[in-house]
Amino acid sequence: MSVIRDGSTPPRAAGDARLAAGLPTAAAAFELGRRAFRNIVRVPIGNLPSLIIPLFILAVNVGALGAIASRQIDVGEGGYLAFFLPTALVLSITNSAVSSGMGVVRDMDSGYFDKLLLAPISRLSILLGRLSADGFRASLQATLLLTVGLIFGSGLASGPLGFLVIVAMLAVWALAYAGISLAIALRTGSIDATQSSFLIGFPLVFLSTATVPLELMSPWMRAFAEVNPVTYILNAVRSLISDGWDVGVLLRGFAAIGAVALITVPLSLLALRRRVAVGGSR
Amino acid sequence: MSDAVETVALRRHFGAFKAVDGVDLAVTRGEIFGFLGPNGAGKTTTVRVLTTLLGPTSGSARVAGYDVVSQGAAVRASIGVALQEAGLDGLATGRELLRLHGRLAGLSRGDAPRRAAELIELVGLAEAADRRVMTYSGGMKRRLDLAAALVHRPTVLFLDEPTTGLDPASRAIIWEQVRTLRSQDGVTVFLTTQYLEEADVLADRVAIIDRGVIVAEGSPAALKAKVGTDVIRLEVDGATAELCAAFTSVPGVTGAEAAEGGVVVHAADGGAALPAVLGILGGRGLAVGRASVSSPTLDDVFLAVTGRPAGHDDTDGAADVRAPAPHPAGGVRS
Repeated sequence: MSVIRDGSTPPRAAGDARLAAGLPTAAAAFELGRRAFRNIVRVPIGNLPSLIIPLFILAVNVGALGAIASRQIDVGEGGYLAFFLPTALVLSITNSAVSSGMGVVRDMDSGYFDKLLLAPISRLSILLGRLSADGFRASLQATLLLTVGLIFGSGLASGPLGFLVIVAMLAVWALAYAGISLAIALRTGSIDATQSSFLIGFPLVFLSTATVPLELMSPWMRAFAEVNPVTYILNAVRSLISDGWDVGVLLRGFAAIGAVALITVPLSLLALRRRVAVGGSR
Repeated sequence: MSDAVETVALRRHFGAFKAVDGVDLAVTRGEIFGFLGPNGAGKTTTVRVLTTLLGPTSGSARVAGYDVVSQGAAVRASIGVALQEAGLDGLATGRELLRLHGRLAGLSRGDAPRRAAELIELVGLAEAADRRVMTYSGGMKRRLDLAAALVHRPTVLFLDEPTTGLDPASRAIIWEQVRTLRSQDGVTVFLTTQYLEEADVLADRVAIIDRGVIVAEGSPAALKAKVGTDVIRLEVDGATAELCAAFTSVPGVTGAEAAEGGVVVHAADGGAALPAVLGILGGRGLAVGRASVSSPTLDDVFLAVTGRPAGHDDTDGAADVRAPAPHPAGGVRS
């Protein structure tokens, strides 16, 4: 799996004097990430749904429920907009994480994935390259949506540094959650199966404190929301927007992301290993 | 010095399907080796095992001196691969794609673009280099794929049906490149093809694979000698044994037999024998519906070696006397 080095191979036969030494993992991941991001930019319309849908839900929810919700929830100065903005952010990032897997499946479909497997680089760098592009995309997406929220008056209690922490947190969430679609993509090689991984994301986002705090939920929903990692991510982002710095809430948010990554990273690595071992993308 | 490609009892099964079933190959360095067979014979599976994209079920394979299972990274560093369906990134430009693969192969930021420009010239894609690959024709994609396979100057080059479906101009460019690579750089070329003609012009040695098993091996000339001759096919009513015997009196004709809908005549030079053959039919007042001359094709060699037409799956292995399909070019050739 790793790049070969002198000494790791038996004595070379004369014809092998020109043996290519491939790029180290980090540099290869950077080049592949650049390529993946370039492709994201080249199909700009592909990024619209994960921006438009959350903005739409944000506008509709705040417009329709804002007045009622503000009577029940302590929303502070930013109003229900400040309460719901984190939901729009997480929804947007979670939805577009599906495209990590889609990028891999498209490469398998075109046969380009084979070409990458044949390059003298570590196979891990193929996955890392994909993820770095998606993490970068997620940061841009979060920056854009958060800016829209600020323009419409959500406020940001934690200030500019809080802005950066929110973007970082969402980018890390994008990477952790992308592992699911990557694993499905590598395991099945199927566009349909990979696309359907949004079926996991949807309940994950909405069976949480997405629309109301835990205290206002019915018991069954509360039970689910309490073990849902998204609840803790939302709470962390929300605290940065509405309350300022609450280190405990922030740590719980990052811990929730870490817990998800503990499942998704091994899953996607295992799927990559199987794909490479059994061999071939078809 | 070890062989460029060496397999011993190589097998790759998919469940009950034996795609490759005990293949022994030895390709010497600097050789152009033609790996022939019909669709589904096991060519692509063999290439995928040799290029480390598939693990073997059993047996062993060494490429450029390295074991494909335990030294996959070293194998990949030594080989260039252009697979059957040119796997390219449609959203990239040709230049971007070659630059990326140069970088991945370890070229510096300065060298990678230079190598890309060099390869673009080599495969004649200068005008299209800055267009997205999705706008390329099939031939242009194959040429780009070949260029990408060469980016790290491999010692062994695998080309899986590099010219299938290509226009003659693109095919000629690829053939020329293959010859140059071997003569100038001493690259070993492992080429799969469905066309005996292609193996004939390019390959030093050929192996024919059928249902996962090697059924013939040798130089193209030796293989064609097994079939022997050109084939003249005549559509005619009333083909008799006596008529066939009459054909054998024509100089150069080595045999003739009745076949479905007419006669098949074997001759060393079909074009030269055709007028005399037609003359015999004319002399008997027999009308010819259609006449065609073909050089031995893979189908013919196939028929000769396996006793059945290529791709014709008879499970009991009994000889099938059905005539091979007519040469795609068809018509009368002089």
